[in-house]
Parts: sequence; structure tokens; C-alpha cells
Amino acid sequence: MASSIQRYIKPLLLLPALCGLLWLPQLATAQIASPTNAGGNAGNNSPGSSESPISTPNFSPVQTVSTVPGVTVATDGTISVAPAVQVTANNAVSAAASSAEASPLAPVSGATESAAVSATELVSPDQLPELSLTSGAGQSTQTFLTLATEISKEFTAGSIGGNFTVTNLRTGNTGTVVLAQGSIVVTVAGSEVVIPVTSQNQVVVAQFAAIAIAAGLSTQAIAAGQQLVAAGATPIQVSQLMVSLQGLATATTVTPLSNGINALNAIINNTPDAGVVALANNSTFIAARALLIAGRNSLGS
Amino acid sequence: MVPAPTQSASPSESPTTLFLLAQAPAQSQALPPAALSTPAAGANRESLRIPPLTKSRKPWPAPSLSPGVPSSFVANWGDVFIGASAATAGKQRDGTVDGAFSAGFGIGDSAKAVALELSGGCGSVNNFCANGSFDVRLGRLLINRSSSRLAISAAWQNFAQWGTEGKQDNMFYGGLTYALPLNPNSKDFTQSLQLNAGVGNSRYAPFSATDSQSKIGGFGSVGVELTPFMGVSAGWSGRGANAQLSFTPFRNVPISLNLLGADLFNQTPSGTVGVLSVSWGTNFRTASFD
Repeated sequence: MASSIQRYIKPLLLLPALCGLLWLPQLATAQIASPTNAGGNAGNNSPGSSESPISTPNFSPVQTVSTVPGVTVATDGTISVAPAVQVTANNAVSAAASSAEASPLAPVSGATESAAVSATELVSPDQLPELSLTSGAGQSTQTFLTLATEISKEFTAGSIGGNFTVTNLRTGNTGTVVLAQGSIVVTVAGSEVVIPVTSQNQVVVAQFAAIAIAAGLSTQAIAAGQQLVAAGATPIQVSQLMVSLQGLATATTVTPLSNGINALNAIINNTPDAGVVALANNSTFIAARALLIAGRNSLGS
Repeated sequence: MVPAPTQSASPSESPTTLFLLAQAPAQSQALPPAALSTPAAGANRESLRIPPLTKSRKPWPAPSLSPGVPSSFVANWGDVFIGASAATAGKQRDGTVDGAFSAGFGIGDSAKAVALELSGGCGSVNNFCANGSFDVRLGRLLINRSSSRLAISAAWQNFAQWGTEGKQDNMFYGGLTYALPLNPNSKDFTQSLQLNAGVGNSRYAPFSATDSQSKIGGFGSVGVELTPFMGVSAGWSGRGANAQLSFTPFRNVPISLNLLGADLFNQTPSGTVGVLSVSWGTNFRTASFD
């Protein structure tokens, strides 16, 4: 509401200036000096906004910069720290993974990183994550958003009973998502997970599973992540969070840590007020948060 | 603490099969008490967030690439601007420097349909607002991509005016502006190139001592960003050659400082002039209303 009011009040602040322009004093003969007519007939025409910053399109992107001393952001998007600090961060994550609260994600953080996601790609701290997926031998990329859109078209309420094959975008290996009655069966690399679902969340969980397979997530990561999806987080947010957490304890840069923090914050930001407490009590959320805080705290403030 | 999701081998599956016997219920442990003790969900939400390692930083405000030549990128709804200038006299005003100021805003959306820009200004500081005029511009984006933008505009300048300087011409022009990034893949500075061109009457036409309102001429310019905060441009105003250097010295404040040389070859009765202008322009609909 406040921002809505501001939207209408701010233009009013300009009224005094514009009203000032309507004041018509009758003074001595003036000679125009404005850029609109500088030098009278010099042909120096600069009307309206052409001199202001809004007259020129700004193609330059929003930049990502570090907020923590010792953390650097390279031009390719890699977020890194000194090697010794990276070891400290990884050790902190490993230690946290052995704690009770983070234990559900211990196999995920200790696994190898997701093969489909380039380590240099960033999740924006301010907006919907736009992490990209590399397909084939790095030949092309698509964003999670694009992938999620494509997958959403495939999985509908009419998909129950269907058997879907999904390709890992990087490796070309395939996995399957089977929508059974009351459950979803996900198979990746010979490992299978059966996820109980309701009629309300079956489609969205299936979408998450498909995105996860394309992104190279393990069945452990899918099993953990689906709890957040079932709690109301979007498949794209959860898949990006789980991609960041997979291999976090053995990461070579702090890019996954940063991505994971941003993805977790995005889930928090997008949870309705009524769901915040439930989210805070979600076991996957608790585990993810514990791992990310451990890594974050190891870097200082 | 509630245990993690139960996973076990399904009787009918291979040993590597994971089977979730049940969705894990909500967990009631592991967060600091403070995280859930506050009554407001907003406070809860804030307590759950983790300080990010990075933040987004806006690019520098774009410098002006229009050297006394109209850009066809007009103000949209939410865009507001205000500016002031000081100009040398050239062959006028007995060598006295004078200034001017103006302000304006936009309505409509040039990307979706059309935008209308309204502006007005006082033509003299020395004789405070003894003369001035209002302009209106209509613009539309024909191409609106991350790789290029093309805009078309039409304007009526001096549609209303006041003062003792004598009636100014009604001026009309139509213009096109094309802009593109020279380094589109750059993460920090894509370096815009901007081309302006158009046709108009009066001051957009070669000087005429009589009936200047009926005279038609063309204008055009080219400008390029040298750095994220500095641009240079040059062009033909319709009756003289202009060149401009523009700076946006503050990253978080959309102010441009422009140093313009008009009629550089002293081809008009008014002669060569220098103009220093300061312009502020932003959009109050964005979160970063500076």
C-alpha cells in the first residue's frame, strides 16, 4: 500500500516546479539562452529529455559485486575466495552436514557437483534466479526458466499414468518420471525414488523432478527437494537451491554457496505470510539453511 | 526433531531404489528461537534470510548522445526530468552569458503503444522567466530488443509560449533514433552507439531571415559512449555543426553534465556558442527513485 501511495505522490512533488513555469512575469525583453535555442538562431536544438539520462538506452547489465571482504566476483561471474578460505568454507559445510539438523542433506552436499550447471553462472540476489543449464558439450544453454516453461507444458493434470523420459542436459544420460496414482517414481542413473504425492501437488512435484533430472541432480537431492516443493516453493527455485547444494562441501569456488543463499532467500521471499512458519519447520529447509549459514559464516561478514 | 524422509528399498525394486514411505511432517526444531518468536511473518521472514555474498549494482546512468539534436527516445509514464543550462552569447546579448531551465514528464508507454512527453521551460535566467515555451513529443519504440532499439518520434515545439521576445516559430519535426550496444556481451560496459536523424522546419532548416517557419531541413547526429559515464557526439542541427561531451558523474544519481558546442563553424548570424547543461532524469515507478 505504501509503495502504491508513493507512486502517486511522487509525481505531485514536481507540480511546484511545473507551476513555476506558468508564472508569466512581464520583464524586460529577454533573449533565449536555453539549449533549445542557445545563441538564438544557431540551430542548437536540444528539446526536452534529450539531454537527460532517459534519452539514451542503457544496454549495460546490472553488475554483481561482492558484499564480503575477500570475496571477489570475476567478469565471467565466478565468485571466489583465497584457496585457504575455500578450504575453510568447505570444511565448515562438511562439519555442518554432520549435525543433526543438516543431516538430511549430508549425502547431497558431499556428492559431486551437478554436471549440467556451469560453476560460473550466477543466481541473481535480487530477482528470480536465472541460472543457466548447459546442454550437450557446452554447445548451448538455456535458463531454468525456459526449461521450467517447457516442462510445465508437458506435465499437466492429464499426465497421470504417463511415463516421461528426461535428458540430463550436460551428459545426455536419461532419467524417467512416472506419474502413478498417489506417487511419482523418479529414476536417475539406476537409482529410484518413489515420492508420495497428493492430487494437488502431483503435477508440480513432477515438474520439479523433471527439471532436477535435466540439471543433473541425484535422487537424494530430488527426494529432499520435493519436500520444499510440496511445501509450496516453486520447482525452479527448489531445483536451483538443490543444484547449489549438490557438492557444496567439495566446491572449488563459493559460487554455489552464493547461488544457494540467493535461491534460499528467493524461496523465503516468495513464501506467503501464512506459510513462513511452516517453511521454517520444513526439514529440507532447515538442513539447507544450516549448510549455507555454515559456509557463509566461515567467510566473515 | 523429526527424522529425515524415510527411505528404504521397495520390495519390488532394486537395492538402489529409494522409497519415501511418507512425507516428513513439519519439523519443530533446529531454528534459533528468535527465528520464530516474532509475531509478524515479515519479521520471521527476515530472520530466515541469509546475508548474500553479492549484490546487484545498477549500471551507470547513460550519458546523453544527442548533441543539440533531438533523440526520439521520449519520456514514458513515470519518466520525469529537469534541467538547467548556461550558454555563451555568441554574437548576441553583448557577450552576456545567460541560462535557462526546463522540466517535463511522460505519459503512456512507447514500447506498448505510444508515449507523450510534455515539457516546458524558461528561456532566460537573467530576465527570470520573462520568456518560455512548452513542447510536446510523441514517440514509439519500433524495435525494443536487448541488442538494439529503434524509436520514432514527432514533436511540436512552442505549442504554447509566453514572453516579450516576440513570437517564436511553431516548430515541427519527425525523427528516428537507433541505438545498439557495440559490446553486447560485456558484463559491465556494453558501449552504446546512437544515431539520430530527422526532418523539421524553422531552426531545423538552414537560416532564413524571413518566413523561417516555412523552411524545411534535416538533422542528424552520431554519438558513442567512451566509458560507462562519458559519451561524445557530433552532428548537424539543421543549420550548424554541433559537438557534445556528456558525463554522468554519479553512479546512483541520474544526472548528466553536458558540454555542447553549437554552430562550430560559425555559419549562422548567432555564431558559435558553448552550452553547459545539467539534467536529471529518472523514473518514479522504479524502486530506485533517486
